[in-house]
Amino acid sequence: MNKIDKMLKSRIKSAAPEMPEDMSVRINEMVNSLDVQPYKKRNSPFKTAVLVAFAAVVITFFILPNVNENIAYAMQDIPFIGEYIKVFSIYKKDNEDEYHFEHIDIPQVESESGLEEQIDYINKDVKELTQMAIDEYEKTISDLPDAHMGLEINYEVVTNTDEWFTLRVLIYQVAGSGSSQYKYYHIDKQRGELVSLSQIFTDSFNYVSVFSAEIKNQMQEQMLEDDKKIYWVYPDDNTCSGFYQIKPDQNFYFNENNELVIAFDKYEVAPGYMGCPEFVIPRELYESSFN
Amino acid sequence: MRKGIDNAWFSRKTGELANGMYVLAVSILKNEADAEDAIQNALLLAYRNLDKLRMFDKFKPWLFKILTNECYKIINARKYSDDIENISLEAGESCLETETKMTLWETINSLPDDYRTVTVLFYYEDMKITEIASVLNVSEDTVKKRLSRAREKLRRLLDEEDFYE
Repeated sequence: MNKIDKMLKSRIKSAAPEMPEDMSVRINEMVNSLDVQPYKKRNSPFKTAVLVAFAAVVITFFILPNVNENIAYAMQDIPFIGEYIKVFSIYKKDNEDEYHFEHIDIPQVESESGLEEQIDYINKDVKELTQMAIDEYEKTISDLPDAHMGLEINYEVVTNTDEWFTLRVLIYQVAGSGSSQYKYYHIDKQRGELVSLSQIFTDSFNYVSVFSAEIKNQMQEQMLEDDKKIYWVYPDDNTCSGFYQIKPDQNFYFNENNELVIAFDKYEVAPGYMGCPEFVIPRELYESSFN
Repeated sequence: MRKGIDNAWFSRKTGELANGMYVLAVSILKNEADAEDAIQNALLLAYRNLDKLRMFDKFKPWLFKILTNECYKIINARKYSDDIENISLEAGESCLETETKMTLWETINSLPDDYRTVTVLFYYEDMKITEIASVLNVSEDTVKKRLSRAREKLRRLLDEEDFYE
């Protein structure tokens, strides 16, 4: 290396800007929160059991005795939604201060018409998922009380007809930038079954390939029409990564027009500013292939 | 994840490279908020694609490649491209001639986009020509050419500084 290069290296390194402290904290928080991202492997059953037991202890001994006016239990006023299945808020908390916000609304599902096994599964899974997010949030704010953090948990009954029930639970964690995770629960009321995308269509219909190709087309079309839109479509120019195909049990729901909508979490197929992308799949692609 | 590659490893490696990522992102985007977005997007993308990285000693150039890509996605998305493309090499030269007392970092920022990125990767990040070529998806000759032009400008600045001191 010549003398000029040596001198430039030394001068440039000493003149380079430093990452601001608050940005450093946010980036660090984001990296440390990666283990709760939805694409991670689930905990082992043993670990999950320990976590659930721990969560139950936390709720019984710490959360319940410390309830204040911000916490409201909505056990009394159960709204009636749909014909057979009711959804109500079992735990609510709204709290905001200079550095933190918590808007938590956790659903509980009830049925008057059987479906106990399916309903129990949903309630248990919702409890586990939301408690993990709350534990993670509580731990982070106790470690870093001055970091800007937030947690929002809410839900929506997307569909509740005679045939079908869909509940959507949102977990939105904010540490610097926000990470949104949706979880959908579907019950086919006529069959009395919990349903995932892989159970809807006949075995001969390769829905993963058909829907993935359709979604990639829609992504390309949207990017051509509007250059502010960006999706990571495989193969991405530099990283050889990007959206290749949907997961066999990709999030989905049926919209008000009874069309299939494939849903992605934030950062799953696009940069964060694109939010949680959704794609309506044309009915003619799948209507003859229902199970 | 592979053996030895876990969240702690990812957290430690990205912690070591955090300031370098910041210098690179802010030198391309010239904006702290955009730089932070690019870094966060790049880290998430890297984490999700860690399984695709074949050699872990290449983590740094791989991560910087993703980051550079994310920076350009932001530039394209926010329509900064016109402004940045308009900063030609000649514009950089005239800038140097009129602003003889620019600081070293201001001079780097006044370099055209391609030259600025090469400068940061070579002089600040100590990356090899082959690694820079891989990060930027260009040939080694192109990297050498850009580096030579950038070096000439920076050398002129240092000469002027010596003259004024």
